Amino acid sequence: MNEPWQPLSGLRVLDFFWLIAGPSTSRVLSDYGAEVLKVETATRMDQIRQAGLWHPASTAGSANAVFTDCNTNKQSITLDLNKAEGVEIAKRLVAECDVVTNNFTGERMDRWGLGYADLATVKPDIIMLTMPVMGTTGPYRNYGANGNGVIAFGGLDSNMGFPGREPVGMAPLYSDFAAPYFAITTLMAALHHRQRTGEGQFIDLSQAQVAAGLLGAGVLEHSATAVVPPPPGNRSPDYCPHGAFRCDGDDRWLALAVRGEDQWRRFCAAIDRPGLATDERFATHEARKGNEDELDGAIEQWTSTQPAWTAVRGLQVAGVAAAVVSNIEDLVTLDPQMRQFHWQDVEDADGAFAHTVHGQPSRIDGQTPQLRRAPGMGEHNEQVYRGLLGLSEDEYVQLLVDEVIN
Amino acid sequence: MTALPADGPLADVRVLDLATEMGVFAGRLLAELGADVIRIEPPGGDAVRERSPLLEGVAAPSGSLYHEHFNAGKRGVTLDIHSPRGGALLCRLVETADVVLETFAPGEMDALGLGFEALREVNPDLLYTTITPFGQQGPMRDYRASDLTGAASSGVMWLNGFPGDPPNQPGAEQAYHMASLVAASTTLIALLGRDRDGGGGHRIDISMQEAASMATLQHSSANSYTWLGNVPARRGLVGLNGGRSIFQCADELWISFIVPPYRWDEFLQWLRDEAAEAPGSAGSPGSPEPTLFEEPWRDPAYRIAHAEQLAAVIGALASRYERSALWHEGQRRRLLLMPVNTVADIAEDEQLRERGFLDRFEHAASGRTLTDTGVAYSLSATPAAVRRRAPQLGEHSDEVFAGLLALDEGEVEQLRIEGVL
Repeated sequence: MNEPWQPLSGLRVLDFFWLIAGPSTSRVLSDYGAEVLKVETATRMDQIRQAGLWHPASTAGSANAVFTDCNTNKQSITLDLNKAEGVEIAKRLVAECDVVTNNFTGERMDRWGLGYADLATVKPDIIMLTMPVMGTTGPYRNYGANGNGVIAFGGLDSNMGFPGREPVGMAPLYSDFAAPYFAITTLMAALHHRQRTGEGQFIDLSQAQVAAGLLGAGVLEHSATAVVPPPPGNRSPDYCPHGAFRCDGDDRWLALAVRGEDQWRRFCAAIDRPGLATDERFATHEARKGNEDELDGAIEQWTSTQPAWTAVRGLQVAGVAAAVVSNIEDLVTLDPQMRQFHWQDVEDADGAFAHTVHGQPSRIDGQTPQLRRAPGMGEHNEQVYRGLLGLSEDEYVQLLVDEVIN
Repeated sequence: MTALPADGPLADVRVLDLATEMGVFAGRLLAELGADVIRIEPPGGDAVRERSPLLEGVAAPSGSLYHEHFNAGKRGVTLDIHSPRGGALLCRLVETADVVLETFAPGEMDALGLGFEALREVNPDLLYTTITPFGQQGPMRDYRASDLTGAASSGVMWLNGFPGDPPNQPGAEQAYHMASLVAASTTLIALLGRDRDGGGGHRIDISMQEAASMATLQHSSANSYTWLGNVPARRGLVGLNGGRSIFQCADELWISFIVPPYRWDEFLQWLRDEAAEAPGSAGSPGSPEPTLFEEPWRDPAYRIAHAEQLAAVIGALASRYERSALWHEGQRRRLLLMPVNTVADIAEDEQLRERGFLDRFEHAASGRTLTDTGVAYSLSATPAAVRRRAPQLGEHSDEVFAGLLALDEGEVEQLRIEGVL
C-alpha cells in the first residue's frame, strides 16, 4: 500500500494546547502530516499525562490511554515560559512556525509576551488559534470550565434525558470532541487565505459557542415560540417509532428510527407483525405519535426476544434504519466497520504493549493517516533546539543547566 | 440590515452542496467562512425542508426552521440531477466548483454517471466529499441510518443516561453534527494540500459512525476494554469531582458545579465563609456531618472515592443561592461553575450577545424577526459570519444558471417547463 498523502506536510505548529479539546485539535494536524511541536514544562505539564487509564504493565516512560489518543504523531519539547530566556526561545520557534495554538483562559499568552501582537512582530504572517472557554472578549471572558461546564453552558445538558426527571446531562463531554473539528475548519480556512494572500491572522474560538452551536434549530425555534421544549427522551417529532428498545440479554438494546409510510410497512413486515401495519392506532405518522407508548410496548415485545445484532441485521435487510446500541466491547470486538477501518494499534514507548487508538475518522483517497505513539515529555528537545533552531551544543547545555529547557 | 461583513477566508471557494441532514451542517460551516455554497435541491425541494421544527402558519417548503438554521449562508437552486439535462448542468457547475458535498448511498452518484471519477474528468482539481452512515467500504456500507442510529452505532448513546434507564440519545442530532464537522474540516485539509501541490482531485470519505465515535474517547477508551476488560456503563452525569456535578439552586434552576483538584483550598475557603454566615451549614467546620476540613479530604483520590459525600455538601451550598448569584460567586472564587442553560437562557446570555453570536434576522417567508445561533469563532482579518439567510426554494436558480453558467433566458425557461429546474 502506498504511503497516505500528507496534505499538511510542510506546515509547522507551535502547540501550547493542553487537556483534551486542544490536543485533539493539534492531533488532526499532526496525523495529516504537520510538524506539531507540543510545548510543556516539568512544572506545568499537560495534566492529561497523569490523568487517564493505565495499562497494568506501564512503566515510567509509558503514556496513558487518553494522552495517547489526543497526541499521536506529535513532537514534545519543554520550555519554561516563566523565564525571560524561555520566552525569547519561544519567539525564535515562532519565527520558524506557521501556526501557534493555545487554549488558556485569560490573558496568559499576553502576560508571557506571547500574545498575537507580540508574535506578529516576530512572524508577520503567523496564524494564532486561541480557544478559551468563553472566547477572548466579553464580560465573562475569564470564566473557567472543563467540558462539564462547557456542555452545560451551551445547552447540551438541557437537551438530554426524560421529561419530568432531574437533568441527567450528556455523559461524553461532547464539545471537547466537536471543538477540534470546528477549530480545524477555521484554521484551514485561515491557512487557505494566507496561501492566497500572504496574510496571517488571529482566530478566537469560544468553546461555549461551539457547544451552543450544536443545538441545531433550538434557539431559532425558541425565538419563534417562546417555549422551552421538554427534554426529548429518545423521541423525535419526525420519526416514529424512534428510540432504544431492549433486546435479549443483559443490558442489550437496539436503536430504531422509522420515518414515513414505506419505512413503516417495511418495519412491520421485518418484525413479522403484519397486524401492526393494519392497526388503526398506527395507521399514520400522526396516529403513531399519538399512541407511541403502546407502539413502543408492542415493539419491545418483539425486540426483547431477539439478540441485538441479529435483530439489526434483519431490519437492515428489510431496509429499516436500526443499529445496536454499541458499547466499547461491541466496537472493538464485533463491529466489522470499526474493527477493519477505525482502530489502530500503536506501541507504547518501550514496546511492551500496544495502545488501541482512534484513527482519524476520515479518509482521503481511500487512506486514513497512520499513527505513531504520543511523545514522552521533552523527547524531541535536542532535535528541535539543536536541529531546527541550530543552537550549539554549549548553548543547548546552558539552557538545560538554567532549567529553561526542563 | 447591517452592512455585509468583509469577505471570509474562503471567498474564492465554491461548494456544490447536495447533502441531506447527515451533511447539511458542513455546507453551513463553509458558508460561514465565506465560501460560495450552492445548495442543489430536487425541483420539489429536499427532505431537509420537511424537518421539524416547523413554523406555524408557514406552508412548506419555507416553514422549516431546521432548513432555516442549517442552510443559512447558502445560495439555493433546484436541479433534477436524475435527468440527463440536469446531470449535464451539474457537470457545468462542477467545472466552476472546488468542492462537491454529498450524502447519497454509496454508488448512487456513480450510477447516475456523476460519481467522483466521472466528475474529475470534468474538473481535475475537484474535491469530492461523501458523508455516509458507515463510509464507502465494508460490510455495513449500505446500512441505512438516522442520527439516532448513528449515536447508537458509534458508542455515544450507550454512555448516556442513568443506570437502569435505556441509553439516552444526545439531543439535537449530535451524530449528524459530528459527521458534518469532520467532513468540512477534512475537505479543507485536502483543499490546502491540493493548492500546495498545485492542483489535483481528491476523494474525501467520511463515516458518521467513526466521526461520532470520537466523543467516546475519554469516557470509554478502547483500552478500557483491551487492557482491562472493562466496559464502562451508564452512570448518569459524572463530573471531574468523581460524582454528580449538576445541582439545583434556590430558584430551582440547575447549575454545573465542579471543584477541580487544584482548587480545593478555594472551595474550603468558601465553606468557611459560608459557615461565618450560616453556622453549622453542610460541610462547614463544626457541622455535624463528616467535615471536609479533616485531613483525609486533602487527598484528591479520597475525594473521588467519597464523591457522593462531597456532592451532598455542594448540593447544600447550591441550594442556598439563586443560580445567577452562585455562578458569578463561584467563578469569582475560581471554581468551575456554569449554568445548565436552556435555549431561553442562551438567547438571553450577555456573553454570547456581546460576542455577536446571536443572529437576529427577518425571516423572509413569515416576516417575523427570529434569532438563530451563529458562528463559533471570530477571525481578525477575514470575518466569519452568517452572510445571508437560508434560500427560498430555487431562489438563486436564475443568477446561477443564467449568470454563472450564462444560459440564455429562453433556455432557463425551457428547463423549468421540462421540470429540470
